[in-house]
Amino acid sequence: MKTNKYIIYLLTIVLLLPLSSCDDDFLEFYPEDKITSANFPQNEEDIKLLLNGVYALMRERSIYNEGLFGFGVLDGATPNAFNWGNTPIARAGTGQLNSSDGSIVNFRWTRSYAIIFRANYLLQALDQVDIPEEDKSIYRAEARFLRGLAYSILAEGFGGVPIILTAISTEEARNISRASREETWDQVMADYNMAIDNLQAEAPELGRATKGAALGMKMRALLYQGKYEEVLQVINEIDALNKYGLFPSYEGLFRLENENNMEVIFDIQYISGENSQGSLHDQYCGTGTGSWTRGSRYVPTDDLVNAYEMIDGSEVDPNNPYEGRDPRLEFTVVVPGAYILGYRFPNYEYPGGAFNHPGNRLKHLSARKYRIEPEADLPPSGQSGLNNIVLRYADVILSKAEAIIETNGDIDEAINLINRIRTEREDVKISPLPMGLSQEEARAKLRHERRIEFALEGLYWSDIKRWGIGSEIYPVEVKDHNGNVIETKFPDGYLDFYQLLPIPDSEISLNENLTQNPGW
Amino acid sequence: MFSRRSEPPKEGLTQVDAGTSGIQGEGNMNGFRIFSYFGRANYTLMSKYLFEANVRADASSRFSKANRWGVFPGFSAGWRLSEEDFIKNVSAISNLKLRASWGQLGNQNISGYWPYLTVIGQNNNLSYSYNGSFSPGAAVTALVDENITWETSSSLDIGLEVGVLDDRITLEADYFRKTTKDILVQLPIPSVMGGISSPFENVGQMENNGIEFILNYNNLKFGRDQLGFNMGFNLTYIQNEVTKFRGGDSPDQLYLLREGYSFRTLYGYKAIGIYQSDDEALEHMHANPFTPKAGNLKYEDLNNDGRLNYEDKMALGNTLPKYTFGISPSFKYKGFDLNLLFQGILGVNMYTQNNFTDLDWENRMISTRWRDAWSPENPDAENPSLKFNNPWDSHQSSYWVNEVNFIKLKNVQLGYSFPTPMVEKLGLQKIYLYVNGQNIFSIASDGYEGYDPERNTFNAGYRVYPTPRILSAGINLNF
Repeated sequence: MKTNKYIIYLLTIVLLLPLSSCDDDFLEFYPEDKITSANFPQNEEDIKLLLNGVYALMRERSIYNEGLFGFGVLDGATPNAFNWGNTPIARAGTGQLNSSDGSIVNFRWTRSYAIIFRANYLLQALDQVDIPEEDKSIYRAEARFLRGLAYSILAEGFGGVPIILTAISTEEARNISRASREETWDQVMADYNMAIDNLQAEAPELGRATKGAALGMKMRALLYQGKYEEVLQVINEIDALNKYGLFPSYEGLFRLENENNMEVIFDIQYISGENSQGSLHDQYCGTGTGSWTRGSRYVPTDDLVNAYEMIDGSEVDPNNPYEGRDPRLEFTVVVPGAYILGYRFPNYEYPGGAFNHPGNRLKHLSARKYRIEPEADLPPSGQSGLNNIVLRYADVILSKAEAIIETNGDIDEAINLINRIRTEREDVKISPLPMGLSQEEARAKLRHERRIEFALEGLYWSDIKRWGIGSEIYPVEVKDHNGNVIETKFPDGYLDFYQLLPIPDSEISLNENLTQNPGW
Repeated sequence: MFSRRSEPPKEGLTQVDAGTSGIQGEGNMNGFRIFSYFGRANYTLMSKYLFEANVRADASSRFSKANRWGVFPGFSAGWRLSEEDFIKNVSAISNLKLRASWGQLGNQNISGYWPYLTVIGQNNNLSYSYNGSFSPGAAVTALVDENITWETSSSLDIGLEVGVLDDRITLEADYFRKTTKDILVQLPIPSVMGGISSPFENVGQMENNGIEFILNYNNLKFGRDQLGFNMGFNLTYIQNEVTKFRGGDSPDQLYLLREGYSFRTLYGYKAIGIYQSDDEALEHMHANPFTPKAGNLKYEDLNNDGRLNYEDKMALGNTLPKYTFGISPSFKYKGFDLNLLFQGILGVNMYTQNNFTDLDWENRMISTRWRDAWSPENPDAENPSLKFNNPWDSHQSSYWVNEVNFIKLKNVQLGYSFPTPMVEKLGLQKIYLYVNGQNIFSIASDGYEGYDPERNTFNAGYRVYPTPRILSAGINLNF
C-alpha cells in the first residue's frame, strides 16, 4: 500500500499531562457561606453553637401534629380534649392509629433520634476542642440531659428502642436492633445521673438545663417506671436544692410575665421576633375573635369539664354548671358565657363573640391555658413567645404523694401534699381532702387531682397508660352542644396494644432487625 | 440576592438606596468547577474504513481530592460498504454503512455543590433562645459519603445506515447497550440517624438495552412549482434493568431502586377495588390496627395476614418510557411550506397524587373525577368515598398510577416565501411569512389527569408549571 492512499486526520494528540499541578488550585474550591467539618469545631463558641442546635429540637413548630411534648394537643389523645381533623394524635386516642402514620408516630421517633444524633455529635466534638474541663463537663452534662430526655420519650412512647451513643454509619443504622424497655430506661437513668452529678443548681443562662431539671426529669422517668421508692429519694434531692415552690397564682403560671418563675423546673423557651424562635401554639390552638380565625386544634371536652369539683365539695348545679367550680376550670377552659380576648364565647350564643375554628365541630368549649391575652398583645403568626412548661414543682408534690400512696406509706402525709395543691395558691382554694382515707381512696383522689392540675399540659396520656386505666375509662363519647356525638374514643373499649405506639412502618421496612410492637 | 430598606425620606423614591431604615440583605453564591483534558484522533482508510479514538479526563470539585478524576475513553469504527465494488454496482443502493462504537462517559451532575463535605448548618431553625435572648445554633443536617466519585456509563452501539434510490429513503438502525455503574443516588436512611438527609452514594449498576430506528423519506422535489414531501419517523425502544444494587437489599420507596427491577419502578399497594360494606372491610383487614370502612379503597393483602403493611407492597409499573417516537411530515408547494412535528411516548406509568387529584391536601381544589365518588347510592364508582383527612386512601398505591401513552403535536409551522423576482424588485433577498404553534394538543390515554403528559415521571405532578402553548406569527426579511 502506498502512503498517498492514506488520508490521515490527526486533529489532536492526546496529551495526558500528569494529573496534578496547576489544576489543583483551580479545583480546591470550598464554600464560603457555610461551616464545614474542615474547620469545625475549634473553640468554645463552636461548642455553644452545637449545644443550641440540640436545644433547638425542643421547640415544636407545627404543634398540632407533632407531639414530642405536645401539651394540650397531646391531651387530644385522651378524654380531656378533642383534636379536630382526625389527626394521628387524635387517632392515638380513638383506636384508629396506623403504623404508617406520620405525625406522632414518625415525628416522635425521628425527633427523639435527632436529639440523640445531635447530642452524640456534641459529645464527640467536645473531645476535639481545648476548653477548660469544668466548662466541658457542663456541656457534656447538658448533652447527656437532652439525650436522656429523648430516650425517656422513646421508652415511654415505644418501649425498648435501638440505643445509639456514638456516631453510627448508615449501614449500622440499617441493622440495629431494639434494646429492651428496661435497658432503654437504664440508658435514660445513666444520662440523667451523669447530668445531675455535673450540672449546677443555676444554669449559665436561664432556660438551659440545671441540676434541678435533671433531678426532676429523673423523678418523672422513675415515676413512669413505677419505681416509687426511688421517686421519693430523688424528691428529697430536689427539695434539698431549696429552689422550687408553688407559684402563688395558677392562672399566672402560664403567662408571659411570669416565665421562669419558681415553679418552673424545665421548660421550652420561646421568644417572639424576627429570628423565628416563636411558637405557633397560640395561632394553631387558640380561639377565634372578631374576623380572625384561629386553629382551635384542640379543645377541652365535657368529660374534662365535668371532672372539676365544686369549691365547697357540693354537687354541681345542673342549671348553673359553671358557678362555684374549682377555679382551675376557668383558668384552663373557656366555658360558655366566659370572655376571652374581650369577646364573649361562643358566638352561636353571643353574636359577634369568640368562636372555635369552623372546622371544629365542638363549638361550646375552648382552651384557655397557655393563651396570650389581652388581644393587643397577640403576637404575629408563629411568633408566640410564651414558654411551654415541661415540668413544674406541682408535679414534684403530686409525684411524692403518689409514691407515698403506692408504697403504702403515711397516707395522711400524701393527702396533705394533695391539699397543698388544693389550698396553697392564692387563686386556687378548694375544700381540702379529709384525713384517714384508705390507700384505695387516696389513690383515686391523687389520680383525679393530677388530671385536673395538669389538664391540657400533655401529661394525662402517659398517666392513663401507666395507671392502666384505659379499660375503666373508655369508651368516651365526645358530644357537641346539641348532644350529637362527634367522636367516640375507643368505641369498642380500650385496646391494650395502645400502651405502646407502633414503630414507624417506614423504619421497619429499612431494617429487618427491628421488630414491631405486639398488636400493630 | 435580597435587599431591603424602608422609609424613604420622600414619597416617590423607589430605589433601595433611598431607604433610611430597616436595612436588610441576604444572598450568597455557590458554584462548582470542572477541569478537563480532551483528545481525539480520526483515521480514514480508502474512504471505506473509518476509525476514531478519543479520551477525556475530567475532574470535578464535587468530589474530594482523591476521587476527583475520571478518565473516559471511546473508540469507534465504520465500514462504508457502499464504497466496496460489490455494492457500488447495485444502483438502488446509494449508501450502506456499518458502524460500531464503544465509549465511556462520566456523570457528576447531582444536586448540591459539595456533596462530599460535611456541612454544619447554621440558621434560625437550628437556633434557640434563653430567657428572651436569641442564641444562634448549628448542627449537621445532612450525611455525606466522602468517597463518592464519578458515575460511569459505558455504551456499546452497533448500527447500520442504508440509503436507497438516491437517498430518497434512508434508514438508520442501531442496537445499543448502555451499562451505568456507580450510580450516584440518595437512598432513604433509617430515622434513627435523626431524620437528617441521606448521603449521595455510588451504588448499583443498571443496563439499558435498546434499539433505535430513524426512517426518512424525501421525494427529492425541490422546485418551487413541485410538490415537495418529506416524512421522518423515529422510534426508540429501551429496556431498563437495575442489575446490581446493594446485593438485593434495598429500601422500599415509591420510586424503587432494586435489583431486577427497572430504574425507579413505582412501588406500593395494589388497589383492587372499593369496599362495599363495613363488614367486607373488617373481614379483609381483620388484623389491621385501623379498620377501613365501606367506600375506602381495598388493597391487595399479598401475604393474607389481614393487615396492611410494607410487606404488601409490590411493583406498580415502570416510570422510564418503553417507547418514544416522533413523526415529522413536511410539505412544500409554490412557496408554501408546512412542517409538523409529533412526539409521543408509549408504555410509561405516571404517579399522580397532588393537590388536584387527592382530596387530602391543603389546597382543596379538586378535579372533576371526584364527581364519581363511592357512596351507598353509587356503588360502582371509580373513586373511593369523598372525605377529608383520609390517610387510608392516600396510601401510595396503584390507585394513583396510570399507564400513559400519548402523542402530542409539538410544533407546527406554516410559511410562505414570496417569489424571488418580486422580492428582488424590492431590493431584498428573501421575504418569508410564517405562523408557528408549539404544544398545540396532546392525546393521552384515558384516565390520565393533569396538565401536559410530557412531564417528569419521577414525581407526583405536584407544583408542575404547565407547558405553555405558544402561537407566534412572523416575517423574515433578508437583505
